[in-house]
Amino acid sequence: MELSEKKNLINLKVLVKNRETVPATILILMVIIFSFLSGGRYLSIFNIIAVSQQASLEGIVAAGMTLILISGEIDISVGSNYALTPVVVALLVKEVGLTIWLAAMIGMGVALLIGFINGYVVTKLKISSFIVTLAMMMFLRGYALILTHARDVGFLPPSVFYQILGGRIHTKFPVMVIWFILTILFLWILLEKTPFGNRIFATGCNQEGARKVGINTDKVKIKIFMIVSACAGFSGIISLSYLSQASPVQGNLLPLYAIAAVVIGGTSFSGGSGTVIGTLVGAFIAQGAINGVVLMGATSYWPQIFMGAMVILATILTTWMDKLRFRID
Amino acid sequence: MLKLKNYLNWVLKIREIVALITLFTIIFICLVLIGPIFLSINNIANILSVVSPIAITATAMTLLMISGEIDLSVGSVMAITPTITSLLALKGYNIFFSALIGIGIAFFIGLINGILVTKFKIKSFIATFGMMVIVENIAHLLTGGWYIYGLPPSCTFFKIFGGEIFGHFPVMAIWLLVIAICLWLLLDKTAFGNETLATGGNKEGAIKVGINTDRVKIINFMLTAFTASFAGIIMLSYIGGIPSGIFGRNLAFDSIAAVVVGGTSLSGGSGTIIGTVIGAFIVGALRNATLITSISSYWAMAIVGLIILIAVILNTLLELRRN
Amino acid sequence: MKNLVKIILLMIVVLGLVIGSFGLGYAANYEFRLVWGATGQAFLKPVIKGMEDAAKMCGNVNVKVVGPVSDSASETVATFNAMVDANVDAIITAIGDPTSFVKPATRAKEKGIPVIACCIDDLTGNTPRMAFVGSDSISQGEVMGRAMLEYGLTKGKIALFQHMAHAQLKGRIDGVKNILAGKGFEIESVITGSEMTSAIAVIEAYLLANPGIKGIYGVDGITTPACSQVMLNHPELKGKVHTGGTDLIPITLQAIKEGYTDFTLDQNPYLYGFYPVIAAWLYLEYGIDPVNVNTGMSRVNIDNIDRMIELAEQGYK
Repeated sequence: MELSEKKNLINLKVLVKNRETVPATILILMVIIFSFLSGGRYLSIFNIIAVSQQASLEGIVAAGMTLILISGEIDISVGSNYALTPVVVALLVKEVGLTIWLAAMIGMGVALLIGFINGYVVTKLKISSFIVTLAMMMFLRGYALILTHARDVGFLPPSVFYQILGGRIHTKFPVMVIWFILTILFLWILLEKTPFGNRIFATGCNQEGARKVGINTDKVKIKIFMIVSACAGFSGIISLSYLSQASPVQGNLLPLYAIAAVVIGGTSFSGGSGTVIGTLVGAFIAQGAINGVVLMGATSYWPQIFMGAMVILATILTTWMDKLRFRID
Repeated sequence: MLKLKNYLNWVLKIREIVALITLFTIIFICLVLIGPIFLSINNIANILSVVSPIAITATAMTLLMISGEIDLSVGSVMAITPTITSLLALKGYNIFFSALIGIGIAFFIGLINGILVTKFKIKSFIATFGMMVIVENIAHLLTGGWYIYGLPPSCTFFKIFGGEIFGHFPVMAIWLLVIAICLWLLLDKTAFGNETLATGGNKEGAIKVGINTDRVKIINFMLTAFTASFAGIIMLSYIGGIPSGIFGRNLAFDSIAAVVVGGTSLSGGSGTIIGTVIGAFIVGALRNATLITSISSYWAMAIVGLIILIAVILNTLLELRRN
Repeated sequence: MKNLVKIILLMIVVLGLVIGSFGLGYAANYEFRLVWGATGQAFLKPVIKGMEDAAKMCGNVNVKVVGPVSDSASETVATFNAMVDANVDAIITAIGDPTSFVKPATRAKEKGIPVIACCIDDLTGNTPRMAFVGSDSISQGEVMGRAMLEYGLTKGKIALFQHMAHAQLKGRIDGVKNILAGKGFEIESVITGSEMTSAIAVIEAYLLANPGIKGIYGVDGITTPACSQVMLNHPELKGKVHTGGTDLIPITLQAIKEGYTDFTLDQNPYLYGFYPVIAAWLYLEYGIDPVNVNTGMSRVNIDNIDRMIELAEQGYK
């Protein structure tokens, strides 16, 4: 084969091997199509900020969810966690009189505890994570409603804390996007550059095999459940800072949107492999798609239909790419 | 002493033992909290009106989960079939004909689910989740979100599927019995039932002995969609119209809960119809009790979640013990 | 062996029945029930407070809220039926559509149990109820239309956002359209979904697609604070784009205080609980038939905002 031909083949191989290729391509295509259809408004600062804001809130949770899916489990209690944590924090500030800093730390502690319980029941009692997190979801949601009597908790004393988490720089740039990127970065380093990350992939790929080489898969899974719960709690506290209120009914569809972002981002639902960067792209695609459809004037139910179709298409693409990857290897 | 041990072993071998014990414990607790009125004919009729749609869907879901898949779109199917049926009927078409079209569309959705999972090799959780979102929003598009009314309240169609006999007893319970028996026969007494068990238990092994696992799964998806649409027709007939807002969103969770509480393993390969029906009654009795007691409905949500968890833990422990 | 199992199970049921009959019997007080389709709603708190305050005034009434936490038609119907079967003394409920409650309400009527509707009524008249406490959604919309004009809305395009399609919200939108008709307005209604942050994103996208829009208004307790938050996100729009809506959610109230939001309307949910309890009590004690009460739609704006925040925090609003 000619040298130039060989080079082309290698480049194609790299492109296919990379999990982020599919979501990146979808994102670029989507941006081009929507920009064209909306007469350029799609790429305005105003719109990018609007999309980024929503993508960040869901994306932080989706980032944690990526690890869960890689390890072969699922967590659908994140939505109730996203409601309960800020409710607890807000009530601690309002009723107990703690400062927001202390209340937020306690709130994160509650989130971590929820993750620990999820992980423990799944690994030690050997119950399917779907069922465990389903029960936890109902339990937490009921608890949040009880604590607040179904009311939104607002009118907290002002503090710079809220600006740091949910404010805007120069009244334009939402700070939560920075927190989102930091979360992605942190989890990317954890996943790709630490031995813990290797253990996560091993657990997801072949749990029995991982155990045989000495990996404590139970410990790995418990830690991952705590991570995703922490992400949900963190995102909840950010939403509290952004909206200045905590609502016990928020986050109802959050687990589904988070999973959608992960799947669109190229992570396989069967576990064993995945990409956090892909999830970053996936979160923007999911929110960008809804936003784009609204921009085109088709409001009401079409954005959702579009998103459902995207999830299916993205999964088909990812599965097909997986097969291709397998064949090339 | 030995006799007791043997006896205990025998009891634990009954697949549905956890479901049975849970059911009776729930009934006991409800009786204590609510009083004998909990088991009055009227209240049982009430429980049946909530349980029947869940149980009807859950029976087919059992077969699907035994074969190793899951269907999250049942709630949307339960919403779209009566929507199409009533819209066509309001336009003047014969209501039975309209219902056939509505159910036909459900079959089609089940077929799509099956193809996505078997031919496109997408995991059923994601495929049916995507379908759920799409179908639910199409149903909303059709109604504009408003309620549908104007169908003749005492037409024969409604009486057959959603009527009441002997005062209060809902006819839908009879439909539940019919469907449960049919599906039990299918699972227990036909070759297809064996194929389903084999597909879920050991897919590669099943293929080796010549079972077309794709066909098995597609048929199960279509059966599940059919029962969900049938449940929708029943709700339409019982209520006499379609309420505004979200219709059927809880069905997926409720029916899956019924199936796992009833003893079917989430990984597939084993399960029983009877267990599922008992599981549906547990979920329904719980919901009914929490609706009418002094327990705040918020606690109710929490308690239902806990009980599902406990039942599944017990089932899993028994499963391990059995092996 | 099998018989032993059967006997044990039977014993458990019998034991339960015996203990149960010592259980909660209904006391000498009247038992009133609020049957609600979605008990996870924010504005239920003032409704419950109204019921409890009225019950205290009457002296011999117990009130309770029953119903499923999240929207479920079949469970709400089952709850209504269960209350009728339990022979409660009065049932208060919101009638969301013309078919769901017809059978249970008819049964209640036959048993002599007073059924009083609040918040939303069945406009077709199919569902029998003794009285309606609330205001019809079209009048609510008209109050909103008038408020919009009073706060300096000039002619042009406006958008009305609702979180999901619902008869009551449609009525409000129609009421607004009635008032604004013929005054040079172009009105578009948009469904945003029920999650607050997603609704905000949809409204922002809509704003971008419609530059030069004169007003973004919400017609319920999710879209109204969402519109207010959008204004808070884009302070440069203050004064150029008007907003307002319904219900007293903290974001909305804060935005009114800071001058971003013109007004919000209060449907007085306290009265949804208060009047029906009093009416039912008068009927049971003295045979006075319940009458319809128009609870109107009161305004909350910059003039009374501090008092309103105080009352909202106390649970009256």
